[in-house]
Amino acid sequence: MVTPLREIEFVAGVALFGLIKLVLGVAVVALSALAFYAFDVTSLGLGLVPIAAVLLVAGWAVALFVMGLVLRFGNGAEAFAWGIFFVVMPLSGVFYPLSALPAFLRPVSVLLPTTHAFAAGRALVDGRGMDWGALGLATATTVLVSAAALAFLVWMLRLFRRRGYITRYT
Amino acid sequence: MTHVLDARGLVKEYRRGRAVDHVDLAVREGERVALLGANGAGKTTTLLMCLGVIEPDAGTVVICGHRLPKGRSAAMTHVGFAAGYLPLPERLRVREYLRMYGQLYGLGDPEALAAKGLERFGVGHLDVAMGTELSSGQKTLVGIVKATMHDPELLVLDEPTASLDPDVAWRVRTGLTRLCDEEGTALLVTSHNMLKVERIAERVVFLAGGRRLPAGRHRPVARRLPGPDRGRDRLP
Repeated sequence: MVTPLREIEFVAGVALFGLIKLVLGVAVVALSALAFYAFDVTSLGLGLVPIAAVLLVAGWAVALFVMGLVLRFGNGAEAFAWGIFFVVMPLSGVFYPLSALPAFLRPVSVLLPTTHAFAAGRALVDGRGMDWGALGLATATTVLVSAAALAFLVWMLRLFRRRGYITRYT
Repeated sequence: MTHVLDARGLVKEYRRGRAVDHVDLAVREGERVALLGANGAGKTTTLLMCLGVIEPDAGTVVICGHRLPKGRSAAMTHVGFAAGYLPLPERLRVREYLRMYGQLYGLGDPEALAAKGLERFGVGHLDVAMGTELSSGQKTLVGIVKATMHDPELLVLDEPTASLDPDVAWRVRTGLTRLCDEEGTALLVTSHNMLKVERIAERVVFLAGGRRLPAGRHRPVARRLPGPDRGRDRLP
């Protein structure tokens, strides 16, 4: 914080580094699935690529949001890095259809990029081809969620300075 | 002579109370100033407000003509900062860490400057050591090298010798004094130890209860701080 580095440069660097780690991690998982379970992620065709890209970016946005929580609440907030997906996954209809969710939660599901990404993925796996509508919604909500996460992180950085949270570590 | 640091009317309030109460702090070019006070006096908070790490609730800070917070990025090109509580990355070698900071400061040849800095403080042998392999004293020295690599106009050190043994502390003081004399670097150092401060500072500013003590009012505070001859009149 005592360097010429600007806040937006820091956020951009962290975001880019996170994305690179994410891509590398997914690549290792895909290769492991091929090696150990003979599951070829490319067997579903190129249609999986945009769906995977949307999910990667959505996960990266969640990570930025958690970083903001850590700046605000301290290292204890790191637990959200894993815990948050246990909330997002059921709300995205990954394990059961959205119609099974309580009515008041369905609007929340609609806003989640994972909901539409998994819907597009299911269509692909079921042999129904690419659901371009679902993919479009997934992309649009991913852009919104990513912008919101970046804005939240910048806000938390400013709050970190304003409230002197650095003194937690001095 | 111009000021490299000109902080006026700094105020910072936390939930527990006012940590800094209308403190003025100025450092001229090439001057060596110590900010002295007991634990909880507001030294670190004052320092961090001067560096733009904490936003003051009131007051202004100007560093080398750049007013914070808008001019923070430009101001920090003129400042080096080191403190015992700043962590070193565990999975980087010392030379990699210093190269990274050299690049952040826009240095043309960070490796050469890092090597020169490590030699200046007598720790050239640590360049390939990992962060996890360093003792607390060695980490402090590497932190000071990082802070001085880019020849800053102002060097800010928060309790730089607090956890150091006498030999390492002597090496730090000698290196810093030589740096200030050779490069004309101004120095702002905090401490709660009078003896350590006397050996390096030309001027001492006392803080107590978040307030700067006027000249002449420091002796009761100075007597409570560790160090021999605490109340003598040699200090300004």
